[in-house]
Amino acid sequence: MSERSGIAETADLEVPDDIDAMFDALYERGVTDGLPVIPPTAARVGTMMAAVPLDPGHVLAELPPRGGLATVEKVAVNAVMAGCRPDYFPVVVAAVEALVQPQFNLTGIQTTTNPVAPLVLINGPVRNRIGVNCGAGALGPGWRANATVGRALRLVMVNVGGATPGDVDKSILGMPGKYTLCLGELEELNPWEPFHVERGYAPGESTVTLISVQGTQSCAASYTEPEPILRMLSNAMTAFGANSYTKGNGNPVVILPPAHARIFAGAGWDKRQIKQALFERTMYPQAEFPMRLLDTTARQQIHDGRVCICRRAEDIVVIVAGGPELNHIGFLASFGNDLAINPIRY
Amino acid sequence: MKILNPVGAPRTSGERALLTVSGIAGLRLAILTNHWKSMDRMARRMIARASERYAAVGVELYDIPINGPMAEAVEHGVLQDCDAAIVGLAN
Repeated sequence: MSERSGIAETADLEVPDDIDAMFDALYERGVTDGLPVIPPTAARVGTMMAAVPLDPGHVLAELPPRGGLATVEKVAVNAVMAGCRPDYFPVVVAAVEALVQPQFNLTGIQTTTNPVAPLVLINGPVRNRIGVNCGAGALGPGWRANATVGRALRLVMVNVGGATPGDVDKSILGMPGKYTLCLGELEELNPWEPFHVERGYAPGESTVTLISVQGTQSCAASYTEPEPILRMLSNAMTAFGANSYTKGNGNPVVILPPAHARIFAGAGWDKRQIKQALFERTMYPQAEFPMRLLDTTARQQIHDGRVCICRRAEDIVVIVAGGPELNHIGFLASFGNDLAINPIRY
Repeated sequence: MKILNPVGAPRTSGERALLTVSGIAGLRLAILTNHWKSMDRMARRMIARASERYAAVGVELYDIPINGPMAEAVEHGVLQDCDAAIVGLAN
């Protein structure tokens, strides 16, 4: 064991050359997500690490609950396993760093009974450089960058953070997004500022944002005016079993396909107005909640006897992505923790 | 074939290493609660039993946010005044 910086080194593994036996060995070891992985040989990991100008031993984050050290090398090992190309690695590095921003509360995300997973949102020029899908089918399946960046993050959360499914990760049901949940914003067809610009970054910067979400939901809203769209969408969002209602916090996510975004923009709406309208329309009378639910925490946001979906309207995330048809809007309920955003520096 | 190990271990030494205690006898105990009501109920029972059953010499209750880190003043108080801490609830 090396005493360098108090870091315990973990030994290399000897696995069979046969690919089936290799996968069986790693699966039995509990270091996969149940799907086959690419063997992280020294050569592959070296090529992955070469994508960033950082030492292999540089600690990007200490991940709860185990406190495992996410060194550049460890993250690269898991990125190789996930099937990432080396040019995806700067995104994975930025995402791992974002995990431990304090407001994101990774400890809660890693150990909860909730099905929460981080939604990985990518903005800026990196999307086109590495082929992140922002259009039709953006949430999957089919695009390597979307699939493997999210997957790499999950493998790091398990193998370094220690959130073993069914054990430390107490999620009762799990959720498909715990395999991967990653998309890019369709900035080119966004009539407003992109999400990262809204958050203070320059359009030419690339960022990764992690938002803790409980799953995905579709809202059929084939209307050509804002009012009926808002009515359908707010109904879909008023699922008061979501943690954000319980905790009075978090970032509910609305994914507007470009056709819906054009309808709002064409009618003079901006994102602030959409958020405010949704915030007001998703308030639910406290008197109609089963009392036991609201007995869970003392932190709900209650305005005039109505429980709010989150702390304030501006915490609702509205992004543009998806295919061209005027049909389904995406909604992702919030786990109730604040998002984390990080620039992609390399 | 030889592959690199994907598992990351925590620090084993240094000021950031996490220390554990095997018991609370003779210790001043901090209980940090983010006020999930289940945690508050557990905290009340722990406060009641820490001294009488487990021989802690004192128990202090501290408030922490429902998510995110504790305030610096709270962290300072815990480190200054207590020997061990129970932290809950993460979710």
